[in-house]
Amino acid sequence: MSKNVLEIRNLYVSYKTYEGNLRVIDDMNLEIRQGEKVGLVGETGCGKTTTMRSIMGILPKPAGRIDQGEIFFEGKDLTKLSSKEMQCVRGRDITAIFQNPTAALNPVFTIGQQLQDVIRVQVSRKTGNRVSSREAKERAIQVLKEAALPDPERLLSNYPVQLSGGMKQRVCIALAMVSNADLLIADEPGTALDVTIQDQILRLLMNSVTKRNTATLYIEHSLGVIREWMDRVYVMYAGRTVEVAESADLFKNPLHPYTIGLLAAVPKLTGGGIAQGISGRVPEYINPPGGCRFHPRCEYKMDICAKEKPPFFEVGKDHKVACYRSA
Amino acid sequence: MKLSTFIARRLVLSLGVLLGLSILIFIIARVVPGDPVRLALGARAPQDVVERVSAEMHLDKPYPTQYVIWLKGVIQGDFGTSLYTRRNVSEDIKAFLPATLELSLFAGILMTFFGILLGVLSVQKKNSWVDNIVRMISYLGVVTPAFVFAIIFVLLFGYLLSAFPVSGRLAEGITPPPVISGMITIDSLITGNFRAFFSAITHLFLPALALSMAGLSQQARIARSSMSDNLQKDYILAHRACGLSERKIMFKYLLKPSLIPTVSILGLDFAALLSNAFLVEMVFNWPGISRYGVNAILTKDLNAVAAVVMILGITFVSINILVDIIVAYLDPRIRMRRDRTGA
Amino acid sequence: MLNSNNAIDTADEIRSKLWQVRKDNFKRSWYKFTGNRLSLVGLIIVLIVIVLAVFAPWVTPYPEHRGAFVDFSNAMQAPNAENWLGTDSVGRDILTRIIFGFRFSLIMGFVVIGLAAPPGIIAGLVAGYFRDTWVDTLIMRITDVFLAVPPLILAMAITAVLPPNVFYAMLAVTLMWWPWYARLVYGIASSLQNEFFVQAAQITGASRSYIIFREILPNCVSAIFTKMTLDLGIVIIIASSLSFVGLGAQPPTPDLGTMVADGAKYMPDQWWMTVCPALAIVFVVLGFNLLGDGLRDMLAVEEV
Repeated sequence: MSKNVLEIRNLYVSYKTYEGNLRVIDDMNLEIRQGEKVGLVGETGCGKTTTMRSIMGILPKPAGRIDQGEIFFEGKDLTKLSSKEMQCVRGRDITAIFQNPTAALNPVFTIGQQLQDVIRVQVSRKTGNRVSSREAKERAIQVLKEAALPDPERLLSNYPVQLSGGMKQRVCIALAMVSNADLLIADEPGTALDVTIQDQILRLLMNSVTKRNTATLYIEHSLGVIREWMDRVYVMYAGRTVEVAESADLFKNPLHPYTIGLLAAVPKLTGGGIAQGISGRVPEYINPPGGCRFHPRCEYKMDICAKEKPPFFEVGKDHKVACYRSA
Repeated sequence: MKLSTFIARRLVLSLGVLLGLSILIFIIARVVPGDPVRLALGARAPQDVVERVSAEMHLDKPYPTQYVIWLKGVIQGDFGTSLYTRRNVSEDIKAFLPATLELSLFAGILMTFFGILLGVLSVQKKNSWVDNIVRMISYLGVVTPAFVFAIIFVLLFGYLLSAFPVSGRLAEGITPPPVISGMITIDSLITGNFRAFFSAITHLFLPALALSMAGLSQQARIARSSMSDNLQKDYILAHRACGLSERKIMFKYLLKPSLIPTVSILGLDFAALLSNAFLVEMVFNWPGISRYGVNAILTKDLNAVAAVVMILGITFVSINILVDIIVAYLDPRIRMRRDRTGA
Repeated sequence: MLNSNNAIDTADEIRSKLWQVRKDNFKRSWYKFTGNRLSLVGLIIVLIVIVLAVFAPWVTPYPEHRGAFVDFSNAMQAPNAENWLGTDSVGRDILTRIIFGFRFSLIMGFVVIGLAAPPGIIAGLVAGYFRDTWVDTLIMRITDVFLAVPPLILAMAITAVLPPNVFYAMLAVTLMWWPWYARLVYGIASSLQNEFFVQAAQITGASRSYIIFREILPNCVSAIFTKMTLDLGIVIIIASSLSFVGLGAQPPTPDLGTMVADGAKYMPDQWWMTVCPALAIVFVVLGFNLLGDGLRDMLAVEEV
């Protein structure tokens, strides 16, 4: 267990709304080892962002709540930490990059101000000393350079509105690189960008984490990115991880009906016509289906699927499936 | 558009408004049913006196001429003679305007400072008892007219607790400082007369507080709701993810973007202070221009009424322009936007 | 609207589905409304005031006190068993006068808003529909001028020349009120200009008045209604402020503002003569404000 940077065990998270209790995360399990790049794939609404928020302790209060389960980060259970302790973990040991760089930067402060504040907090926490503004400025320029941003000195006095989308995302990456965190969580960082910029950003990100040996949890709904860069991949459906395998293995040999359907849904350039979708819809979280949450849409469903949630079955090296078909 | 173009456009528009206002007030003043001079002088005044005063006030000339005469006078600062006090209206204004300005200024400071403070407090301890009390107070502040507050304060603090004086600007027996700005607090500070200063402040406190309650409550509510909305924004999430402390987030990164709607309402509220001053001035016997104006209305003193309306109108418009400029300055997005797209 | 068999619904089916959606929306909104306790309080207050006002002659203990009535033997009594809120300087029962004061305030509020809203709404609709033409500019500049003038000052100026009474005071308030409705509706109407359903209506040949009144206006209704409720409170404050200084209702009309002014002369000994009507004002305005806020919360969610 201590070899794992992150370990999520039997996590249950729900949101309280006036329409009822949304049981979003339902018995989730996930592991990330040191220096590993792990992808988390799933369609919109399956709970990926909620997972990230739960790990970082930034669920919306008072609606969001961890009902049950543990999140172990380097041996410590994050769910048991006080908010002040969690605050120290954030930014120093776990950092994050968000989907929409425009929304992630405060519009009325300059890049320099935001960057330097983070630097001050992180460095002083790590070393215990105060950071002078000159040191903060130098570090800010250094980190902007690492993010391949041109003319960092001038950038410091710019407002976010003056930057392009790609540049803003680089700034966010720079923010995340300030302290050498052990875990980086990236929530669809390329989604809001053009495809060509997306590629640049991705390369930058991947090179940075490889260089620093940072473990990465990469949340994505696009399979192409996952295939190229990730070591292992988790497939998530309706609040639960249903399959995990090494990246190549998953694409060659998908076993969960959902994964199979997902991969089949990607249109192939080599012909074969328009892809087949998966019939049905993502379940409502107020009254989710019992047993395996995928069973109403599953071609191969059996009687037991509606009654009991399938546990993980090992089917190969690092390849586990939560499906009775693979029992 | 650039800031200077923006300012220029606003100025031109405001001048147009003021001109329109002057025409409006002139028309109203001259279309009074009945003979205003006779009304003021009384029914028993001899006819030749009435005619003489009428001629003095140019009331026998055609309307457009009257308007031009009046406007020329106004631009030079001459508003004619008050039918009631029998002296130049501009002298009356000089005597009474500083008192109202002082009252409004003080009320404005109270309103801004405490309003925003309460709003921030409220958001910090959201849904706690502090929050609920603040929300209740700010609610009552919005639904209670200023004169009700004035009366309640008079009863509570003036009579029941006898903590503050309830009438006038200075206690009797204290010599007022020489008139520099007309505002007793400032003048007494400048001349070092601390007894007068202290007396002036205690006399100023209750009326200013009563006047400020509505604006204070509005500020608190807007600050609270704006901060509460911005709390949901992604950049706050990102700040948290970077490990910034809650206090820093609250007081720096949340406050500044949330103040932007506050400032624009602040301008409106400040102007509202001027409009509502008369309510408080009547209760506290404060010798200000609004009380003078109400008197003028009740006695049909038309020159005085026109003057008060114009002065207050000019002040109001100036404040609006100032606020627009401040808002444009505060929000860099407004500054930088060339075409109106974007966040 | 397609059902799962990929066939197109008949007009009747569409209508009944629309009704179902509307009913669901209303149920959800009502649930949200009642969930917010303050809004319920507001609704209750408003209902109490309206009922009292409508049935004033039958509900009040001394209905004849509402006008010119004197009974000096009973004047200036503190609140007691016969006069729950005491009597005023000429012996009239304050509770009765307050209830008639409610009636008066409500009438004023309804009249002012009833007079100010329609022209404002129409102006806003027209300006919004003819957006970016001279019609728009003209109407909006006029409203700008009215809005740039400090409201109370305009009211004061108007009451200056006309004899101070209720009617002219209401006129003054109405004149300064309509631009707000124009602004509100203009904002909604002009943003709707680009919506597809407006363009669709134009293409299918709907007349301009049809589009304005049957397509755009319904989208403004909830905002207008909310504003009207909140405005009632504000109008009552303004009217009572005006009569407090003597520019509005004149004695012996039972107006809350004049009652406060009259009672203020007898502070602090006969405090109830001024405090009771003052609190009555707060009560009414509080009710309308709470109700209006609740409406705003309820209707705003619908749009999302």
